[in-house]
Amino acid sequence: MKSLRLMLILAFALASAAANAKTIRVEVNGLVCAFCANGITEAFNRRTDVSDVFVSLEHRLVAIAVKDGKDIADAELTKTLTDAGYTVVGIARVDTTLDAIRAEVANE
Amino acid sequence: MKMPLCSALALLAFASAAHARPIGYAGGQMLMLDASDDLQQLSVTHAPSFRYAFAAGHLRASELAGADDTLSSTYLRAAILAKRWNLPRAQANVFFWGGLGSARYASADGSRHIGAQVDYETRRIYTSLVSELHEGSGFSYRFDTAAVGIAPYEHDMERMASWIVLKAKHTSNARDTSLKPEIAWRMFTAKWWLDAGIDADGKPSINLMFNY
Repeated sequence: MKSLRLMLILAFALASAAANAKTIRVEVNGLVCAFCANGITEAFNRRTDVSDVFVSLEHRLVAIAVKDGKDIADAELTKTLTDAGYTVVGIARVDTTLDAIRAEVANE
Repeated sequence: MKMPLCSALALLAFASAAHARPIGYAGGQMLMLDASDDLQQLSVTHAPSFRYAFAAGHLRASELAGADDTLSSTYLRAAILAKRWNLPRAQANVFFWGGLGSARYASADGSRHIGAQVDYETRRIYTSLVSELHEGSGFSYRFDTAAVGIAPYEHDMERMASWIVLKAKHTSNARDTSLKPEIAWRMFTAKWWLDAGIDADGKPSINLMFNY
């Protein structure tokens, strides 16, 4: 009974975390070379409010998972990507997890 | 006569380094190794910004035109990105750079160099033009390279890129000023880059780079 309760609590916690997950999708121009675009990953990985980064050249996409309760202002996102040498075209915040985006891209 | 020869080889080395972009990503370092039959070069580039970078390097060239002498040169270089066009599926760049070097050969002398690169690339096509001028007391050389690359498939961040790159090289005022073709197999990921080439005389060469 105790272990069932524990499992329910864990399942609820995981579901809540997924529901609160905030991923920022940024559409970027100029993404043509993995060797050059590595700077984007490095730039976001240096931030303490970012938990994961995913870059897809095919989808002209930079997806950033922020830690719970955190967000990155559009101006700051644009500056980070501009300073990395790229041009931001659009920014959207979605509830999809970064892993789900990664899987979606991989399955295409 | 030896000084122009060593300068030409130094020039070849610098031009070889310029085949890839002279600036890595902002805040990053790039370690580069060039190696061929008669030339070895190691350099480190630091890019405080995607717009400019500083590099320090050392090269060693042996068996110059049949001589037993070896050229050693240490150089410092600064590079800037003058213009970048970020398109939805392509990127184009204009780079300039310049540097100073010391050469140890039959007689010691310094040299200065300036260069420019224009490139345009998609994930399937790569084109670039590189020109570099080296001057010193009693010599002036210009080295030009045109390159066209084709990728059989589109790579991504987690899939290794593979390219076939054709290059045509020309050196002015050198002993051999003919147009020299070269073919290279280019492979790279987000962290490393390798060009494995062979020229018309069958001489192999590699260019290895590492981002960190």
